[in-house]
Amino acid sequence: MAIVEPVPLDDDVEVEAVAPAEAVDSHLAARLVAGDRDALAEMYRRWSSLVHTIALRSLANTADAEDVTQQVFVAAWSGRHTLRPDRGSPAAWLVGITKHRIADLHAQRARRARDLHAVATAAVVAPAVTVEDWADRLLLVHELERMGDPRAAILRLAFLEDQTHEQIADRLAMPLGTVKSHVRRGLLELRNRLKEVERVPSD
Amino acid sequence: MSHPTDEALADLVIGEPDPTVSEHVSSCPQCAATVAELRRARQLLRAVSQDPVATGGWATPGPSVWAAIEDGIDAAPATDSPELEAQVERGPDVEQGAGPAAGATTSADTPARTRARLRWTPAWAAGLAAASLLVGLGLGHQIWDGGTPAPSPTAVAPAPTVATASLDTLDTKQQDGRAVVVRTQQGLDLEVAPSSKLDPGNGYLEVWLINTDLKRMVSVGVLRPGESGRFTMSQRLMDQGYTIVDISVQQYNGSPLHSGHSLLRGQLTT
Repeated sequence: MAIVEPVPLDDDVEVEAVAPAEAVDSHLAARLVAGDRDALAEMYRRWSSLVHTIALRSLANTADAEDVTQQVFVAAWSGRHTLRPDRGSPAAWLVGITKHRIADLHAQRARRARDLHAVATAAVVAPAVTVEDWADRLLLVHELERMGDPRAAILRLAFLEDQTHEQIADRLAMPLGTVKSHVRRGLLELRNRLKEVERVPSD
Repeated sequence: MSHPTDEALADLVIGEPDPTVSEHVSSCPQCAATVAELRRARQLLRAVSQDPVATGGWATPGPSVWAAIEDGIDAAPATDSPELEAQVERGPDVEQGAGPAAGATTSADTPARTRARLRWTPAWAAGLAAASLLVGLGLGHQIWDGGTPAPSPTAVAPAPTVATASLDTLDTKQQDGRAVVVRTQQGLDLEVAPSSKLDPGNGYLEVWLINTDLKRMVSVGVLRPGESGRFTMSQRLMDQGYTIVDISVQQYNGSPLHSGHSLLRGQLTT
């Protein structure tokens, strides 16, 4: 795993500073809402792999996943006025749309199976329980990627590698209180992203 | 007691529990829900280190996807007025102008629209019919009903027509529908639009492409009574002579074969 080199930090590191990435995202969202097509292209560059990977994991079929990816971005354009630049990240919004699209496709597959066989074969193609989890999990991984260090590195060590706060403080040569503060704030941030995904309406 | 801060709740999840906070959470559904959300976020990441994405293994969509998105957007002008967009969508090619992204010609058609069932259904209308949206059964075909709360149709440019067929009743040879093959981003789509509501009795309606040798046939999908359907097909099928569109009544007996009971049939001509 790509953990960055430990970076020694001063004790008074500003843990609560707004990540620049968030400011950039919010600007991008505002441009999209205003009808700037370049903003959509930029969003596609940044988040099409997130959307596509979620679709691919959930549908296990490249063609279907590409269909979903295509639909998500067209829907993002036509529904851009539902994006609230001041309330959450465009990535979470896109993931919300993605989840609904995938659910639609699963429902369609199930119906198709029912119609063709008129028996309980629908269970075979029913959405796997992990569809929800895939979308949310991959979004969180993505969030960690863009979060910036040292917080991202700390969260990776804490959550992905299950290291104790003391171990992390040692490894990154950082005060224990700073590590804890990053973990705490980082977790709240991740949870907020998941809430944002939930807020995206299905229709 | 007032609610603990989010930070205090997070501490419960990251292994820094405060007994007072724990006690509050055990009797406060609201804070318990927050803790559950935090726990889930934590839990979702637990197994990730073994996952390819943890080391940047993201999948990238193919190069054609962005082009398809742009096409989709071009046909859906930047306006929030469904009326205006519906006008635009009903351009000159109205009769067979359903584009690839229309996906769904639905039973939501108003009486005034029934004469041209293959044309665009604005997204808001499709949304109204979403409960019964099982059209476009073709593989990989999606229903583009906007997907967002606002009435903003998504549309793409009218697809070029490749072939058409008049669908006639087998007994009296009355025209009772139409089939159109249109070119899409992915290949060809077959749109089948009966003019009247076909009665499947206790069974269901299935659409077939029968070869001109009248021996071979392929099933292209299921059609809902009273609705139009859109199915994926291919140039290869056309080239091989699968150009007779047939709608049959099938029984729920598990047999994948044509029942022999056809309602409508028509030869596609280019």
